[in-house]
Amino acid sequence: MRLFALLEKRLEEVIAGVGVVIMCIMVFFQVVMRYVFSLPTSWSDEIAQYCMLWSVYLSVSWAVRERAHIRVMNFINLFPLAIKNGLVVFSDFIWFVFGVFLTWHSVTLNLSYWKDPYFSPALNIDQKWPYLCLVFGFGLMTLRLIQIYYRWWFYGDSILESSSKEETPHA
Amino acid sequence: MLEFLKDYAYEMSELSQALTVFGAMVIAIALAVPIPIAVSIGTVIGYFMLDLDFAGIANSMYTGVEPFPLITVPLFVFAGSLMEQGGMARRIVNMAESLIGNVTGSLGLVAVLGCAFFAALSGSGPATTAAIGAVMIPSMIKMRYDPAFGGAIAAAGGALGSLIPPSNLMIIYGIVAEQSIPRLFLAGFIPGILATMVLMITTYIIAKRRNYVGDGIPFTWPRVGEAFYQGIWALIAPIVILGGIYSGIFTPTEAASVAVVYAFIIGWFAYRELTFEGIVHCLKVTAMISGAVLIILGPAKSFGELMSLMSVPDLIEEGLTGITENAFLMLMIIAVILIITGMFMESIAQIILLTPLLLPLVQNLGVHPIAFGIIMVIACEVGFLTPPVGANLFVAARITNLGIDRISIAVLPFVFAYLVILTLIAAFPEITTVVPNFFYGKFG
Repeated sequence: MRLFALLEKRLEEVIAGVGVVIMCIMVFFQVVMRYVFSLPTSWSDEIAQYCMLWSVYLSVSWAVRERAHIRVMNFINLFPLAIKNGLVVFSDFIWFVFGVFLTWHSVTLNLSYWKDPYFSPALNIDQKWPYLCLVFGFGLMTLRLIQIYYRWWFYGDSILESSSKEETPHA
Repeated sequence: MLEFLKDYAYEMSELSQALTVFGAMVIAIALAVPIPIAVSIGTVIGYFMLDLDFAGIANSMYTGVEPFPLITVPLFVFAGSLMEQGGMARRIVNMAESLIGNVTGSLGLVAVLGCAFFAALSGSGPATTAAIGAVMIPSMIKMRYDPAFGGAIAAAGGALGSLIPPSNLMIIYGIVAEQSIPRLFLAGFIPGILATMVLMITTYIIAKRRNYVGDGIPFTWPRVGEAFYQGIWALIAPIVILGGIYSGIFTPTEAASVAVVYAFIIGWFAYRELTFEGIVHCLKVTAMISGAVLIILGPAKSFGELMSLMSVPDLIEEGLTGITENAFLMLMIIAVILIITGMFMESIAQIILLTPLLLPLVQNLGVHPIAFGIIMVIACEVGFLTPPVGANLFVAARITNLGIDRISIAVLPFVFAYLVILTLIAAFPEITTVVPNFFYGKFG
């Protein structure tokens, strides 16, 4: 049970963070190999790309947990609180439906790579593994949405604000 | 039921199909559905109307995030965050202070100059606001500046982060518009310096009218020398990052990884201000941007393909060239469109979604894609500074503990300053292409 609690809290952020670190090491490693050892590599690019994809899609799910996704609240803020909350629930429901839709199509896409394997040019990696990030990303995103409503129903947590507020993200 | 809808959609004209897609998207955005999901909703409806396979949407989710140069964006975010945590921002401010600390409204001017300098290290507007604002806003309040004015300067100066190279927005534009990223970086150089100057003049005028004085410490060369000696590692950073790109030693992506390693080494070993917790915080900031901002790349890819299948760029071109065929007027119309959409959209999302729709049109009017990129970036910067979704305003509001409304009023003179720059560049797009043409020779 403690393991589950730990996974619940840290799973996505650890994978996403480690992804960023590996991405950086791979790109830097390439510079070092080229100038210090005169041995240009091509496989490091590919690993960096996989890390980028996994890090982005796992962060999508994490951002649901932290309620960090960027939403335009101005229109629904015009309404009285009860209606506003109703609209938030409604838009979360649309989001959930799309989460299921996207997870489903990610799974079918992934299954097609199991049936007809496709290998990457540099590292000869079976593409079903990197593509799995879509299944995990959208699957976990959908589960995180369910979790928010579960916590709201049983523990009365807010459906709009995260308990551990991180900074609002913008690039 | 679905078959009937599909037949009905098939009968619709291209225009009404496109309007249905946009309508669904806008309604979803208004109902507070996160923007990437809202874009996918529009795309799914479009795919349904054109009877396309939905598997294509899932596939674009992957291929949209796949391009290698995209890695540059999270890496620059990570590097900027490390530089902030590692104590570089404060030393940059000290350098600026030693130079112009004794002038009227010096703290405001120092903040703008500090932002311009930090912008040469970081590719992000809000990160620049956060880094310099966290140092400068408290000292401005201590010197009895109006906190809202302090926040406005940090927000407006922070927007330089996207204009002065390196710039995340230019990287995204370069990928979408298939333009050379180093060329775009060089193109931002003169507009960046111009914008810094205009912002400093605006600050000076306001400070003069409100009688904000300098720090009273007279200018001395030993003070300058001491500040620059302390800040030497921050000074070397842009030389390494930008110099490396232009001498052809590394690509922008590799430069970003070098920036991360450099920021880590300086923060950890030279300044010793970086802690393990600090690094974890920086990683979280980076992951947050990946999850909430970069995720738009996937939906935007299939959305872009859908738009060209529906020949929306042609429709927009027909509509807008009906109004005017003058390049300058067209750029101003587009700037207005970008500023309005920028009030509701994150800048990266805006560039990804709108570039493919608008670029062909302005290219046909003879505007260089590089110049258009710079105009888009500046228009997006105004979006950083306008509520409700103005990233820099949020950051400044958090540092000052003021409401976003007060800062968004105080920032208006600076928004006007950016509009002046925008008009200038729309009238003389050559300002942007001079430097890249000088370095790389004329092209395209």
